[in-house]
Amino acid sequence: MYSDEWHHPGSAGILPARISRAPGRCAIRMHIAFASLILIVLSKPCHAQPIDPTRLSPVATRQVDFDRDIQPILEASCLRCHGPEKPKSRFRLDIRENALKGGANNKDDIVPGDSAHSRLIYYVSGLAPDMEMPPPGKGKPLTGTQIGLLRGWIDQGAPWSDLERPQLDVTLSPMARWTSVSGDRRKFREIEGIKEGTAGGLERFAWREPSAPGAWFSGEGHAIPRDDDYQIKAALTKADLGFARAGFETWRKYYDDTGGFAPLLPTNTFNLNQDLALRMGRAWLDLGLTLPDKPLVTAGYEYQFKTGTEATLQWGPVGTTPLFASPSDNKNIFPASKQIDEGTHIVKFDAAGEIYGWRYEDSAHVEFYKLSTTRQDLVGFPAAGTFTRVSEHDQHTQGANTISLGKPLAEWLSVSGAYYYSQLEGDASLKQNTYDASGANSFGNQWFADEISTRRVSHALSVSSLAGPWDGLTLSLAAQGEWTRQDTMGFSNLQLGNPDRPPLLPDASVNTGNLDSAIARESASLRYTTIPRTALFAEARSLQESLSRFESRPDGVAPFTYDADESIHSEEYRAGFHVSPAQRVTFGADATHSDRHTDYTRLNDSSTFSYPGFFNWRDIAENQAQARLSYRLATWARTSFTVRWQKTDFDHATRENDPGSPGGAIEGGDYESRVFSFNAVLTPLRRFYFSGTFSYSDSRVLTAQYGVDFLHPYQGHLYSVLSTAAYAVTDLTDLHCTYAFSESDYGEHNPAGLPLGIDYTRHALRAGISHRLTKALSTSLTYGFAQYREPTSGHATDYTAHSIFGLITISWP
Amino acid sequence: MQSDDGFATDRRGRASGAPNSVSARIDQCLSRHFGLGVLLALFLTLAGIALLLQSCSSLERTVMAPLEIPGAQYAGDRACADCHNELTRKFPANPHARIHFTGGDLSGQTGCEACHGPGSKHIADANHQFILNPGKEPGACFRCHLEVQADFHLPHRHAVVEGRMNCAQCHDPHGGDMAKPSSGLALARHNESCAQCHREQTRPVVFEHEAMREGCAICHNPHGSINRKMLTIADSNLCLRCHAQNQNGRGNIYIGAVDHTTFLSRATCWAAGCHTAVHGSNADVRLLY
Repeated sequence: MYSDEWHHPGSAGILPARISRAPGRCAIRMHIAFASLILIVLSKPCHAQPIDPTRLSPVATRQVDFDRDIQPILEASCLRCHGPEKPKSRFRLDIRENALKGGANNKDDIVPGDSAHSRLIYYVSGLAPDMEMPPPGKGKPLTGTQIGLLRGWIDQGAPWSDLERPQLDVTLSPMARWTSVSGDRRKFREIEGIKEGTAGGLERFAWREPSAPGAWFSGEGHAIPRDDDYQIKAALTKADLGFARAGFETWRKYYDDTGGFAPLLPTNTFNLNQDLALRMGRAWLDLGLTLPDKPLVTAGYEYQFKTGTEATLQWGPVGTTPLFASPSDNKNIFPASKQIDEGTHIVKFDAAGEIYGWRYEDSAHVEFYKLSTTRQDLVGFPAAGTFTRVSEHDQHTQGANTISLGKPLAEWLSVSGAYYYSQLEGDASLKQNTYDASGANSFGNQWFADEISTRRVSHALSVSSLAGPWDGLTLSLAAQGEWTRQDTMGFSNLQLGNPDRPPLLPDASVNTGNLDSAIARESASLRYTTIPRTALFAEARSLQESLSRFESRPDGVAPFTYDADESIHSEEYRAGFHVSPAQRVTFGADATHSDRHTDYTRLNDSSTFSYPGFFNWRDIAENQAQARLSYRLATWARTSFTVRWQKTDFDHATRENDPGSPGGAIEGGDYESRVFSFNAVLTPLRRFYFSGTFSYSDSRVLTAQYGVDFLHPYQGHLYSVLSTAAYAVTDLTDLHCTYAFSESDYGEHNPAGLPLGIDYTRHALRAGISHRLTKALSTSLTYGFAQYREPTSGHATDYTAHSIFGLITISWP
Repeated sequence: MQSDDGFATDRRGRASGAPNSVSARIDQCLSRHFGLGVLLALFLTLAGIALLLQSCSSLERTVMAPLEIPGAQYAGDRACADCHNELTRKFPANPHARIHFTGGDLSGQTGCEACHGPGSKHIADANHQFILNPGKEPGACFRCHLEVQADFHLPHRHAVVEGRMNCAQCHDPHGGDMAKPSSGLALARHNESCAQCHREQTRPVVFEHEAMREGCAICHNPHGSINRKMLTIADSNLCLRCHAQNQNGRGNIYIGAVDHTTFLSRATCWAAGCHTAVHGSNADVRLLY
């Protein structure tokens, strides 16, 4: 029976009319999802007129099973709004404990054993005015049968599923891999990202264990010791309370140890004979509070690191003649490397919430950074084998905070703003010494720089609005101001000589570098979608920057002062459309023009080398156009084709500088590229899937346009093919295959200069079979083939590899 | 230099590979027994066709294509807005809104589900699973950004397809993040995305390389490149685009007052002993370290 005291103040006189509806009408409205109106209903004090229980759907008389009968109804109609995340009216239907608590204002939404007094039944029956569940437009009303099942379930005590009780869910995928490589093993590692030989570990593991109602522990990741490849994440989550998340991940980036290739030299390829790799990773811990109707607060700590040795491109000279002989066959192609030890401690605090209708987010980070590097470069002067060793240290602390606010002021207008502040304080040092081939001190640079202090302060403020006053038309406007001040100072002594044979020629000075930058950015974009199946857009962005640069080295052998104001103006315009002219076709195209112009005003410029005060202005202008066609040939065949063209012009004007330049405007370089890509996804059979992508690009960069024989345009073509296929052979067995191919012909064949463009061909194939042995156990066996050919390295970096990859996946339960 | 067995050697004559490895023997075997290889390939092809015909006539199983979610149907953008209203509210200002229109005939053609897959099962799931997150898996992004997918398979690349990075670390697909180049409501700050990991290159120094103010992408392709260090150009053309190479009519290249002709004929600008501190220097104004 209904409670006499259940009234709804706003619905007096309406409810009887609702009740008077024929039961048949209720049945018509049966397929409704619960959704957000439950919140509205429950948030109001409800004092309804008495409800005649005969108007309710009859109670199901059979034994109701939660998993079979109730859970599907909840999933289809309720949990969208009354799940664990932001439940409307704080009414959750995913856990019995919470469901029986009721919503924010009611405790009798579900009364075990008494469906006639359970508000839930009124809502889903459409008997509560303005509180029909699911709300109109949010889902189909429940059928009479479904309501009867809900009533029967409540009358039978509202038992919940066994699945709701804590249950362990574990997946383990141990793997073994064997790889054999012929050729340059180090190049194989660099490109393929793994180490040859045998490897084993866990390709993936996942662990999820509900520990209490609304709380669960989860962990996932992988661990392959041979590659030093670990990813471990764990989380403990309690709904409506918070979470603790922690993790550790690390992996290696490998480098080839070869340098360049000079075909005319007797010995034309070189390597360091070193295994080069950087180990990178991070460890983190985040603690968060997710209390209902409270700000989401997260505090965390993270440590990021890089350690190891990487290859660099600071290649040293090799040749058969002395370095400065004329003519000389010296080429800088001897490889180089750098040891790195870098660590960053980061303390984070984030908060997000809503106050007076304004959505706010704040993110504060403090970083403690420390870097040590040592680089060894062959310089070949004054004697063959001479090298320098450069050690550098840097540490800084940086604090940054971003706060943003946003609010929809009206249905058609929303505004937002953000403010960013960061401050960095640090110090650094550098030391460079020169050694002969035996490692003893040698004549050359004996530099040191210390007491270097760095300071950078930045502010950025942005405001934006999004307006859609007319249907189908949207205008967004944004503006941002940035101010950055950077002050650096340090002592350096660029000594020349041999420490074992003093004196050294000193070149000491206090160096200063200051920057003052003020930037204003604006953007506007317009979208128009009123034309059926069509979107039109136009965008404009601009930037104005005023930059004051002061660099000074007042003492020493080559005093230098550069004090200039730079005025930068940048504009970008883009317009285009996206349309679906026919049912299976979409087509879009757009064009972009941008220009960035810098004017230099020298206040003081005294440089022995006339640089960088050489420029009067510089300009980078870019035009770009792209188009995309997507065509669904059939339900089983989808294709898309894209094309992009880009041209960039680099122009400058310099002052007169005898003997280097007569001054005036000059075309510094131009760049042009085209990219064509095609993709097809085919599923002609239910058990077959194929995706193939072909991409072709060409590009050309031309500088030194007044003709020198040693520097050719950098130009070439690049082809890529990527494909994936899967085929279900039986209910238990699948075949899978992936293939990647790429080839370029950027080789320069320029013996007078330093030809560094690359011709290469790469194939990577993986094909295998997977088979499910039982519900909890499946296996996979994959063969891998990789091949790399690079004629422009004299084939010194070629490799061919074969691999076998075995995987077993065990899941429980 | 090529050794007798066909493998490259360094200047000390040491083999850079392992000619006797199993892989090499497999290659040698395949080259010597080419006919056998053809027969084997033919056999495997015939066996594959037989397998295909056999299974075609007996199997009802469906292989799911990417972005399909078993049991899920397209629900439309309005359903997403119920919970993710902060994202859907801002979406019209987002670059992805350029391709968004209403009234398309194909489900999931545009809108949220074009990237996240059909959402009906996600909506019904109490744990809000059963939805694709392109931030973790780039397949959805690659459906439209075909050339970017190709870049991520080039020899030098960020490890996105390997699963060690993801698109959302650098791009904000919904707009609104001040530090990411989304072109959305908020405007990106210079190089902030790269600086999250590459602090060494973006730290303040006494003598700055002005190119850093143009953005990292002026020299590097952040997705992938055929060149080491993901450089867009492998030789000195990279630098000479901006550094005026005025000639004096005698076939020389001057940069400022310094004749660089012989340097450029044998080395890149950043070679040892030259402008090695390409990202800026704490000691030398010409970035000679």
